[in-house]
Amino acid sequence: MTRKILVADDEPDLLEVTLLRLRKLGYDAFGAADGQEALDLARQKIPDLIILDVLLPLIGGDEVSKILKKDEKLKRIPVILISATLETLEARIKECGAVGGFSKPFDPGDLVAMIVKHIG
Amino acid sequence: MDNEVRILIAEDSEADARLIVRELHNGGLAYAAKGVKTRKDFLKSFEEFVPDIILCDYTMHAFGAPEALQIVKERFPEIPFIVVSGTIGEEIAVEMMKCGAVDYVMKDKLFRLVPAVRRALKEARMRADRNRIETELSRMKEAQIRALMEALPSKVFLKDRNSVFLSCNEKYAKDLKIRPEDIPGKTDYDFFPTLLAEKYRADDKRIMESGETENIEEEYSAIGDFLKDHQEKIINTIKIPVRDEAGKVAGLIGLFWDITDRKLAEKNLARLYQQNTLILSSAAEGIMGLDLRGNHTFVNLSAARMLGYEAEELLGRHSHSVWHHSQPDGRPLPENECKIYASCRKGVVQRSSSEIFWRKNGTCFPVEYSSTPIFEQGRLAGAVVVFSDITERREMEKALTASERKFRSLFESSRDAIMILEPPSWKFTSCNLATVQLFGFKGKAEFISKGPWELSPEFQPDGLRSEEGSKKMIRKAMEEGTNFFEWTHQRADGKDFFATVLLTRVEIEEGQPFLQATVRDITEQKKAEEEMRRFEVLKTSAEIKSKFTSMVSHELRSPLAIIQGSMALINDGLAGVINDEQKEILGIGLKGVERLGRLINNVLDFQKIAAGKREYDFRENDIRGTVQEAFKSLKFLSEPKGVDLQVKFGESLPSIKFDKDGIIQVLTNLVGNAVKFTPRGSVTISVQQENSEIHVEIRDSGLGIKTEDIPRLFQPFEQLDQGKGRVKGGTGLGLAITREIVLAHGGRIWAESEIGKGSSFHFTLPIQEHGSPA
Repeated sequence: MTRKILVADDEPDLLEVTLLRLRKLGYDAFGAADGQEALDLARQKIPDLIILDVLLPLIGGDEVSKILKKDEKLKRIPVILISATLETLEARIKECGAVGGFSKPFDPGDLVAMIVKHIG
Repeated sequence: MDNEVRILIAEDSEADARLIVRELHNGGLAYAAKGVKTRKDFLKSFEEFVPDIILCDYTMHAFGAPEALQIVKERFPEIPFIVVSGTIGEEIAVEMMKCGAVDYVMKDKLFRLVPAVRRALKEARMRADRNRIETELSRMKEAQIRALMEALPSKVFLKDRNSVFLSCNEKYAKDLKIRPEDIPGKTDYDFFPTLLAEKYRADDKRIMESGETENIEEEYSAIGDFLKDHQEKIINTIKIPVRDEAGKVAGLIGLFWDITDRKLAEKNLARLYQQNTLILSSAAEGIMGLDLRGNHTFVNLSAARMLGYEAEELLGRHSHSVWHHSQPDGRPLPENECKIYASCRKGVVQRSSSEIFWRKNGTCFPVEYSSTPIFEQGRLAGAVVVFSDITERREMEKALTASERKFRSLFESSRDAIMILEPPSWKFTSCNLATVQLFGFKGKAEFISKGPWELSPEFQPDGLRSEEGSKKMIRKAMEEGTNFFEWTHQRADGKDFFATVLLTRVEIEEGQPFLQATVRDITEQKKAEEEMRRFEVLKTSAEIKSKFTSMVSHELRSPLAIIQGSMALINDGLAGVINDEQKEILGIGLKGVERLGRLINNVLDFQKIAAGKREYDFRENDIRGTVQEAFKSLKFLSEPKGVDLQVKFGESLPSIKFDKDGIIQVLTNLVGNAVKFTPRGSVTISVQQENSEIHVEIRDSGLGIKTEDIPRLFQPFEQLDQGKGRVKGGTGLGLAITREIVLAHGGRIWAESEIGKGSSFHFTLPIQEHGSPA
């Protein structure tokens, strides 16, 4: 069964490159441009993994993660945080219940490695 | 004894004659007798024989006693005449005595003859004596009166009851242009105009009728011709009634003298007095005349007003006890300690401005007075006190001294250095303590009489000579009233300091205006300002950094992630198969992307670096490989600029622990700068081991850096002047970060440069004594 991955990023180009890579690797990858859309898609499609940019419009990525973690149906979905800020991600990752995170720019290979680690 | 008495006997009877002679002889009288019988003989006998006494028969032929008596009385009244008769009765005898006979003797009683003669002779002698004495006396009196009249300074005349002149003295005669002996019998009409003569005579009449002496002052303006000089004369006349023996007024004595001069003097004196009084009255000063005892003889209006009296109230009163009795504190002022008293009694001029006078109402006021003794004909007569109320002046002085004191204390205690500059030399004439301290002098004396330029370096920072500059500033202050400016001063020890100077023109009533200078050392202020400026820059840069951070996060990092994502997509063969050459090229691009990502992170990490919060990843690394890696990246930077970038390595470089990203960042910064400031030429990186350090040098053949700028190179936010036409680039943080990184490794960093000859930057990394793999 094809793994479903939700990627939320307000940078359409980055979203596009990421989705392209994931699809090339055989995932059913779909994207959201803001936090609200990410939540909606998550509830609608129940993805196997969710990649969230921290600074998303409407609802921030870490906030979306916290909401997901309160939802019984969605709370087990692994969340990976992507951040463009300088701050250390570790604390935020822990706080919102994500499994890991990357600071931009990051090696796409490292991201794929983390995805594989969680959902194969 | 008696001389022989000469007796004339007139008797026509021989017998009677013999009887008479016999009787005379018997009576023991020494006599010489002559007998006459006729009138002719009788008269003739007087020519040769002046008798002492005449005995005359009453009835002779043709010549009788009454006729004889008459002749005698007329011609020789002093010769006694005795009637001898045998026939006459008592009645005729009495009649004869009435006519001047001294006695009579009856012929039948001739025994009475000698006693009668004796008595008559005695009486005659007595009468003669008296007459003689009287004559003498009267002659003497007249002489004395004349002498007196001449001796008198006044003009004197004597008039009888009818105002006829009897006599006068020389002076009066001279006035009337006559001789004194010509005056008797003349009247005023002879000398004076009728009106005047009538006036004189009326005066005479009035005085003689009243019997009272009068003193008359008369003006003789009407006299006209009488006066030699035709001037108005004033004459003082005293007329004294003269009485005869019976006490009846018989005439008068007049004395008079010219008092014109005296009167004129009196008039002048009066006018002078009036003028003086007017002047004294209108004087603002109080003026008082005091006599020897200190009593007021004169008080002018101001004096009376100031003392609260009417001038009349003070006249005659004792000055000291009226207004000078006590001292300001109420203690009595004894008269013998009083200065005014001293001038009255001892004749010394006294002045005082520290005493008070008392008013009538019991209040007092401060005065300034002078007390000048008055001498009249060389003798001390009193003093004149001139005084003024100095209450206002005292208050002004008080206010002045108070403000002066305030000013002094302000001046002295001011922490600002305040000094006075005076024309024309414009040197300091006065200064306060703070000035002495500020300029580091030992005392004011050292400071005074120096010019501002003598307390300054020769040149000001703007290149102007201090002497010229300070005179310019003084001129400006004098023209505009104030001048505030910054100035570099010099202390006594030769050290310069920054100061602000405020010059203020001070106008004074007398003399030229001068300048007050307030100098404030602003070295500290400058430092504070500098720090404030830096703080502002830091604050601003912190804000900028924060914005920059967010900007980089979103606007740089995201596109970089896109580039990286896209290139990796191709490089990973996910977009189709790529050949080795394509893969290598993409690999270089991806390395650059990675490095750029790191650089961005490192630049953004400056806050951490500055705060010492940057985390380093110290681990065993190959310095040569790291430098090579950096060199490869930097080649791309230098080649397009035509800068020849080379790298040299020393032999057998040991493996050391370092943060690779950090060192790459250090190399990137240093080489990047070198390339940036080397328009053409070369940049050489050389890596050597020196003792226990790895020494990395980045040498360029570029523009070079001013020696004085070198210490500032590694300061954060310092951007050196890069010259005209150069675009400022960089963050101003590069070298600061570089330094921080090197220091974090325990290394050293420095620069050497010379303008036009290029620069070389050095850093070292310590070689750890243990831990490096064999």
